[in-house]
Amino acid sequence: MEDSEIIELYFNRAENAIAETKNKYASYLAALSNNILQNKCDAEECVNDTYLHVWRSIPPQKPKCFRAFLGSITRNLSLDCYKKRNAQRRVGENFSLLLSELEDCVPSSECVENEFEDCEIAKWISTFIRNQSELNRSFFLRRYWYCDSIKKISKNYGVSEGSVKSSLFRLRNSLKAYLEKEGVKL
Amino acid sequence: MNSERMFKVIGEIDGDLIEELATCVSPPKNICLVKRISVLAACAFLVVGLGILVMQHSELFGNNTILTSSTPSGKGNFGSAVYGSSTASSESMGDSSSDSSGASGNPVYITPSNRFPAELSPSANLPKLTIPKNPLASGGMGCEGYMAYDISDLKNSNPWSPEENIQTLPVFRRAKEIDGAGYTYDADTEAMKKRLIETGQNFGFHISDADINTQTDSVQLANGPRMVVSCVWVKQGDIKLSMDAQLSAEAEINPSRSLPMGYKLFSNTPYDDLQRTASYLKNEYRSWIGMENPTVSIESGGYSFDGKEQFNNIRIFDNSGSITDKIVNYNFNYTEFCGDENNKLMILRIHTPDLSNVIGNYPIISLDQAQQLLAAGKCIANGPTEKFPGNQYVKKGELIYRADSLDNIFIPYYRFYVEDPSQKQANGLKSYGAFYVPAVEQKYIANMPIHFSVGN
Repeated sequence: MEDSEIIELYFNRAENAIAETKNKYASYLAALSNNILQNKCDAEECVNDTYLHVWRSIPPQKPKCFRAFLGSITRNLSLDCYKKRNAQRRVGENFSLLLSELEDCVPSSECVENEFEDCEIAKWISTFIRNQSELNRSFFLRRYWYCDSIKKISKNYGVSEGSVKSSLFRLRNSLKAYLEKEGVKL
Repeated sequence: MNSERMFKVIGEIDGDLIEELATCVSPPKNICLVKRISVLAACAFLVVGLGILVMQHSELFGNNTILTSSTPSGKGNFGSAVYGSSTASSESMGDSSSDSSGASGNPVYITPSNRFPAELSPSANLPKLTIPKNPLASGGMGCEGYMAYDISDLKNSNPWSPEENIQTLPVFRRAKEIDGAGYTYDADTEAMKKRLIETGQNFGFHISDADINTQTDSVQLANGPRMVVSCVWVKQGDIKLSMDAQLSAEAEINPSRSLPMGYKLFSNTPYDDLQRTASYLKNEYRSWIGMENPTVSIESGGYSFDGKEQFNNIRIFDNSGSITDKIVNYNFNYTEFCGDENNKLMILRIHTPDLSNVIGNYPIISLDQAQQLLAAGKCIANGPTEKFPGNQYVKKGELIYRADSLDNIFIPYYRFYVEDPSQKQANGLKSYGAFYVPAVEQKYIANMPIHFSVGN
């Protein structure tokens, strides 16, 4: 079923809206959440919560890109779950590492003047990503949107882990400089 | 929490980018084959070249402990390397008799002698060791990379130095194996409780079996969920003391305790200030630490892109006994002090893993020999790049165990800090990546030559 048709089901409050969402996106969402939590039980819970959130959000929202919309909700729910588990020291190593990497991208508060909303900053980041080569774009999104491990990215793209790490390192460095240049504060 | 916000912001990027990635096909591996063969050929050429260079210049591996101020002295030189423990100060406890906070009774010294056999002669039939491929990530690069203005900024108080001329070191097997996610499936609950009671004495706890709680986790395995014991714990007063399946403890203080005015525990506290805080904590919590000769080591994390100093937690280890004891203590048996976001003391992590399972006492190669192996590509690249840029970029070498990794066998390694010449920042910060060479003689390594990069 096309995404627009599934969204239409939500607008019609049709009971099979969630079932169709599950059919199409369950494995994608489970993998995304599991990348963050590295625990299938917790990931499954987050994915189930995602469906509930979607049911409550559509309408009034009408997402342009259903896949990204679903993924964004799952990512945020998984982050919340991660934080709870972090307090209990049951965290996934991959995601802890990923968060520490993201510190590199955060613009220095001394270099910037303006504070933007998240959605505005996301626009800047989208522009930055679009300006990258196809491979770098894929590496960045695979790592920081899908939360894939470096090992997995390396395997999927047939390049060494060192190359992936080097590329990501440079991308983070460039993103930080780009955001600072644009005066973005986080 | 900025990284969490960045994570959320990235979740809001334009959906078409996500859609595009979902629909594009990853390049098949064979597209890269020619490129990879070329790279391998170039690497082979480089290895041969470097090998010849190493042989020609082996006499240059002289005094390794001196931080030379000279610049790389020309073609074929091995550069201005700093070897051995750094120049960081290492403050000994001495005879301080200050009281501990909240503890009573005699501290239990969990010294190495009761965790690995005191007599370790080289074994006749040493089994071959397989180098594991687990990552050991630190620093903020998503790999083991550090940024610093100079290699001397990367400080620690590693008791090892090449002058010790160590001939053998023990190789340990975890008493209880862990899986790739850090779970221990066959935890010895009785041993955990026993160690909890022992450690509790240092906190002035009187613990009976009935006081002890057991925490279990559900782990999803291929054949279904499985319950594992993650820790045993007690709570007395404001302290929750827990012991994990690897026999390391954590004391969580709730509410967190304030530090006296002027003491800072944030990770980005300048080195000298953190050293002062560490001295205070060492004296104030002496009995909690439970060591004969507690010694501070502040493990430098280098600098952030902004040029701000960043350190890991304060580490206090027992710098007593033989040099082997000191090395083992520094790497395995130490206490970390962790603050909360309000600069209050929140957690003590008391690392005392069970090291009773000694595989053997293995002959150790020298730092010079290790650098020759590094140049020949017999190493593990754990930094931002797997390419070894050349001996002139090797800036420091030290012997360590990868105790923080998910390895089930603890082998001594030489860790080399290698500058990446392509990554120098405009503000003068240099980038250093870590390369590891097993310190055990090659003939005892089953998977030599080893040249791989570790990811996560």
